[in-house]
Amino acid sequence: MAPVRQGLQAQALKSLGPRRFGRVNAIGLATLYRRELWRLQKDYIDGLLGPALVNLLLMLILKLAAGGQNARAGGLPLADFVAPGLIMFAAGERAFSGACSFLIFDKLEGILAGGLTAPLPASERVSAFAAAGVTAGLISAAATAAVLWPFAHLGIAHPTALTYFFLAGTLMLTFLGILGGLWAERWEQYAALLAYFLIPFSYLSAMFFSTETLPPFGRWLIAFNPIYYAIDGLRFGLTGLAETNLRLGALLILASVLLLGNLIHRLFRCGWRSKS
Amino acid sequence: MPSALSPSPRRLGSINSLGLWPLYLKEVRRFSKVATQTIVSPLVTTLLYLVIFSLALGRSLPQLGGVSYAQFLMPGLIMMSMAQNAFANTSSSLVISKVQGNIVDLLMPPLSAAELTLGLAAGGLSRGLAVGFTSAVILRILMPFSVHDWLFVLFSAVAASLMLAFIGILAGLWAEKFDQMAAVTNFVITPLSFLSGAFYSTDRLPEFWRHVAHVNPFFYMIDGFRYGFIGHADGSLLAGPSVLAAADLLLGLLIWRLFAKGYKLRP
Repeated sequence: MAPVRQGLQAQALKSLGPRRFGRVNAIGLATLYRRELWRLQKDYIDGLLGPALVNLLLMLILKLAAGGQNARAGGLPLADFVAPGLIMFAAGERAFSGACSFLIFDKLEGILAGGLTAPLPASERVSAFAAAGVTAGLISAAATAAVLWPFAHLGIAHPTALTYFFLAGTLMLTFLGILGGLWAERWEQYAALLAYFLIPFSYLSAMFFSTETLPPFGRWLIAFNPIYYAIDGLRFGLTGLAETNLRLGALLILASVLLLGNLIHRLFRCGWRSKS
Repeated sequence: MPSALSPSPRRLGSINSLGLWPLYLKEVRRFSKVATQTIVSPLVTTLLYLVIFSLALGRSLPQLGGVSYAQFLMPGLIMMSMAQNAFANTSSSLVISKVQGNIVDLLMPPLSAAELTLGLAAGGLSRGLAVGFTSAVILRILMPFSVHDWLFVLFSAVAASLMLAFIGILAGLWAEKFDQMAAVTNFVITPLSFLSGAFYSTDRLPEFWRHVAHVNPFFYMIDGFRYGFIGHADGSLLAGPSVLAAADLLLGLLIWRLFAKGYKLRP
């Protein structure tokens, strides 16, 4: 009997030792991803159905207000011009508000420690947040695309551009949401971020109108809006129409994604506003 | 002979003004304390809608009801904003109190059902009017418009804010969770305000959508308010104010009864 007992003891001792991970803590990463995604979908009334309905209403109003006028923008029927913007906005808004509100919620409830004490390095936490934001953005974009389907021609003109601008644009807004969530300490600040940053930057990004209708100063100003490039790129992917220089837009978005990702990684690592 | 120190019930007149006034002040301070969120942010939204809709449609729709599209849009947008904020004030006050459990602070004091109705509704009305007034003043600096009929402007503003404050009380009484309130806001209030004719003249709509607009109570408040500014109405000038007045009266009575019965408030 003795050898068997010894074997068990050795096994028990071994399992008490430090848990070993490979280069990436895949279980932790997948768990955090699943948790964030589940939280995003739980809030489906305010996060998924509500925004899709608002997008449907905006489309309907534009159609009804234009009447029989055959309003056009940038050479496309107005509905076809607006639909890609609404789809990108649906994804970006979800990614931004989700990441931002959960960080604030965790901070205020004092449960941020749950994520911080887990054996997850900053890079894995950033990746899990980013992946959850992009997945939720994809779900919201699909919902908006589905309700807009009867009103606009939604084809796929350039699959590569579509994929790139969607992923990069949503990622950029997820990162901005994380940054806002780390910064904000009260719900008022969250409301301010939505009302004074996300909504104005999104609505004034040539989502509803072609930049042709703008005065030169407006055109100059809008060129500083990163969301403008994401929406224009997605519109190119769906309809083949682009107003901006796509290479420039793609590079700008890539640069901001890299910069923001790097910044958030550092902030997570040094524990800015999350570790005291 | 009872001594001056012996306890006796406190006597209130026919109105407990000592209780009603603090209730009203509490409802007003709830929003004035966070004015950037409750007054400035609706103003930014109104400005954004004005800009994007004039840029998207201004060229194809040069004139509506005798004025430019932006001037046509302005009263409807202000009214939408007033309505949404009047609703938000009363509904969030009740739901938050219920979820946090401090609704007893409303039920314990010697306030009658009528006084509760009045205090809460006046709070919502004040927020609606504050939002409307601020938006109108700022917009007047940015674009030209004039008032055609003050009576219609003021009556529609008060009657509509009051109506939405009442609807907010109803929703707040009914909802037990934030999710339910989110559903009412997203699936009832938002669609009704977007499809109210704020963005288009119902005269030019296809038959079906014109009917949709004309059975929507939100249409009457926007139409009357807009008539006060531009002097052109899509609907009847007699029917609009009557619908609003009747709706206010009925909703007020209904809520008074609900408070008296303790609907979803008392076991």
